[in-house]
Parts: sequence; C-alpha cells; structure tokens
Amino acid sequence: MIKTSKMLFSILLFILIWWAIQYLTKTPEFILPSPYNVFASIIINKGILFFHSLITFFEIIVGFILGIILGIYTGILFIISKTTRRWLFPFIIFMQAIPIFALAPVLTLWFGYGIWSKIIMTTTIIYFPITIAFYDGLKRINPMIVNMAKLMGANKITMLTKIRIPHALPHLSSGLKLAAAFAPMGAIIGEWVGSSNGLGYLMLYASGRVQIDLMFSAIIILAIFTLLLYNITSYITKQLTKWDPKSNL
Amino acid sequence: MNKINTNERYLAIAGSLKLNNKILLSNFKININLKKWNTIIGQSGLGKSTLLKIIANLDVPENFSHSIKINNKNLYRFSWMAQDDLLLPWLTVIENIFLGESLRREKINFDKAHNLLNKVGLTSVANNLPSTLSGGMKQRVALARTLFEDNDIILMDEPFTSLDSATKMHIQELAFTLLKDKTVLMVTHDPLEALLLSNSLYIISNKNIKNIKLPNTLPLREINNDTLSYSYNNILKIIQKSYEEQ
Repeated sequence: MIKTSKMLFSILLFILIWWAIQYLTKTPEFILPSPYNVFASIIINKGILFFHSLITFFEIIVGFILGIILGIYTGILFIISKTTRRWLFPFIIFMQAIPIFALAPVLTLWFGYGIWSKIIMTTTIIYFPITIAFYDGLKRINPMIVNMAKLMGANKITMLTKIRIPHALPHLSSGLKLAAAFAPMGAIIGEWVGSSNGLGYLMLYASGRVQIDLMFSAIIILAIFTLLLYNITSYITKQLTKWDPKSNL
Repeated sequence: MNKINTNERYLAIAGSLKLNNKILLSNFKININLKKWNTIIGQSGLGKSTLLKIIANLDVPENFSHSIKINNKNLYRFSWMAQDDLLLPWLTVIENIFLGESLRREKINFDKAHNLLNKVGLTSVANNLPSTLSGGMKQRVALARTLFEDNDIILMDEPFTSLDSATKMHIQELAFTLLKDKTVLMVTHDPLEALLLSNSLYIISNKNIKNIKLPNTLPLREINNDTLSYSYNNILKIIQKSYEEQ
C-alpha cells in the first residue's frame, strides 16, 4: 500500500506539473484544461458526475468480485483436477489472446446495452491474472512440505486448506493487485462500445461536445477511484499475508 | 492392521534402484535395527535421499525406477526430518508442532505440544513465527514436531547439514537424547556425525550398501582424538576408496 502522505505529495506534484505545462505552453483550454478549470467543472457537474460514477463503480466492483471468485475457483480446480487443467488451460490462454476491444462489441450484443455486458467485461479482464497467480502459488510449494503433510495423514481437503492455499496467498495478492488496477479498464471499454450511462459514456459524450473540462473531470474521478480500489485491495491482502516477510517490505 | 511382532528386531530393505536406466543400487539388502540409530553414508548422487523417500512411500522423480521391498512396511508409521526444516511460515512455532493433528482434524493436545517445546528449550518463542528464529532454533522446532507425531521410524535426510558446528553438536545431542527409543534411519555425508550418533553404519559403495564396523563404545560418542581419527581412518578412507573404484 502506498502511504497516504506520500500519495498526497505525488498527487500535488502531478497537479503542479500539469498546471505548469498548461501555463507555460499556453495550450488552449479545449485541448488541455488547467487543473483549476477541471476542479471547477467537477463542482459544477457534481450531480451528473455522481450519477455516472455510481453506475461505473458498481460495474467495476461487481465485476471485480465476480472475477476474484471465478479466478480462485479455477485455480483450485486446476490444482485438484489434472483433467480440468488440461482441457481448460488452453481455452483460458485462447480467451486471453483475443484483444478485449475485439470482444467488447460481441459482449454488448450478447448481454445487452445495460450494466451486465460491462460487468462481464471487467470480470473477463481480471480473470486471467487472478487465476494464473493463484494457480502458480498453489503449485509452487516445496514438494517436501506436501510429502511431509502426506506422511502426517493430511487428507485432500486439509492439504488444500491448511497447506496449499495459505502458501498461495502471497501469489494471489499480486494477482489481486494487478486485477484492481485493470478492473476499471474493463468497465470503461464496455461503456465506450455501447452504453448510455457511466463515466465511459460521459467521456465520449463530453469529448463529442468539446467539453474537455468535463471529460477530464470524469478521468480524474476514475483515476481516484482506481487508486482507492488498489489501496483497499492492497490493505486487505497485506492483512492476509502478514506472516510473509517479503510481503511487508 | 496386524499387531507388530515383538520379536522382530529388523526392518529388512532389499531391491535395486535405477536412475534413467543407470543402476545406482543393485540387489542390495540391509537390515535396519529397530529402536536404534542407523546411518547410511555416501557421496551425493548415489540415491541416498531417493532411497529414504521410497522407504517412506513418497513420490520420487519419474526418472527413477526401483524394485525395493520392505518387510512389514504397513506396520510402521514414518516421520520425516530434512536439511530444510519444512516449517510452515504462516503458522506460529506451537502451531507448527501440532500440525499433524490439525491436518488429521483431530482434537489438539496442547499440553503435549507445550511439553515438547519445553524439552527443546523454546518455550519463550511458542507464539513467534518461524521467520523470526535462527536456523538452529527452527531445526529444534522441527525436532519437536517430529516427536509430537510419535511415529515408529524417523527418516532423516541430512538434518544437521545446514547448521554451524556449535549448534550442530548441540542439536545432534538433543536429537539423540529425545529419539532414544525410536528407530532412526539417517542419511549423511559427514563421517564424524555418522560416528557420533550411530548404532550401526552403512556405506553406499560399488552399487551396494555395506556395513561399516563401528567402535565398541555406544553412541552418543564424544568428539575426541579417538573418534576424530576413527572417523578419518575407518570411515572417510572407505568412502574415498569407493570413490576411486567408480
């Protein structure tokens, strides 16, 4: 997790550089609005921004949770069933090989204009990193620890719950943090392809009407939300892996 | 399960072991003395660790093949101690000691676990994580975990190799005392360690496992001029000779 004070400093620095570039190059406001105007725009448009943000945040969170559940489930399935792994693994790689942009119109066609196509898009985008990270963690345990547990009389369930899963938690944490950073992308792409609600839609709408300050407002809000989602995820995973000295560097 | 025949004094192990069709051990036969400390010595790469895994019925790498038979194997339960302490980093010291019971979902005998922790002198770190302990302390926890399981046969794969010499002597002594009425089968490549601890000693040489004569004294033997020269003249030289024969 990034420390709050350091984070605030980075944000201030970012705003300062932004403002300096805009001021020194005298870029017109309709190409790069100044931080002040974007901030003003957030205040003026707070109602509409709030409405669209809620929808996008909801899609991201539901998609994120679904992706985590599916990813963890698949990881466990892969470790307990060799057959499932053999059949499903190539399919998952194949899915990942298709650019998500190419998939978006199809998902909209199948799951409609509403929030579900965006949720599924988010889930699809994060499913791969979570599955791979978790499966890797489950697999990469010292085989002698597994052997010792067998000698001690572990059954299939305790081998999983008391040996493999705890060992995989630091790996899963990396997957979850990646997922937290990627998840918003899924929802936004979904909204770009077909939607009449959400921050992605608002960005297109504002850009079409050259309301660049509104577009930047939407981007800033999305960025803040992503940072928040990442930090919350990071905090939770840190609690889960307190025992791992490498996780606490 | 059959009752253990009380007249039995040996665990007989016999067979052959191959790695990628290259013979490592051919038609060997050894008798492991029950309730004694047995040691197999030999250089690396001769299949010592693999032999231990086969005895414990564990998975061995696929390029090994073997025809090793052990009499009445199913009567015994095995414990494993290795060079790596194999402690689970997410469990505290005491949780690591009663790991076996929690894996079998049995009622946990906390008194027994604390009692054993006391015996290895680590009561003060019961609730610490293994990452906070030194190598020697970790190996003592591993010893307590092994004792907690109370199994008949303890298989040891170079358990003291990674320790510094002072710690090593202390833990060897501790292990010997606490494992007194157990059957131990240890593999090592350290002649002195083998001499100090063993009731009987075997060497892997020329694709066979042979008995090496030990002094008439009983273990635990002290380190002194006699044991040092014995380990050099009567053990190390045999190992060197077998190395030259290959």
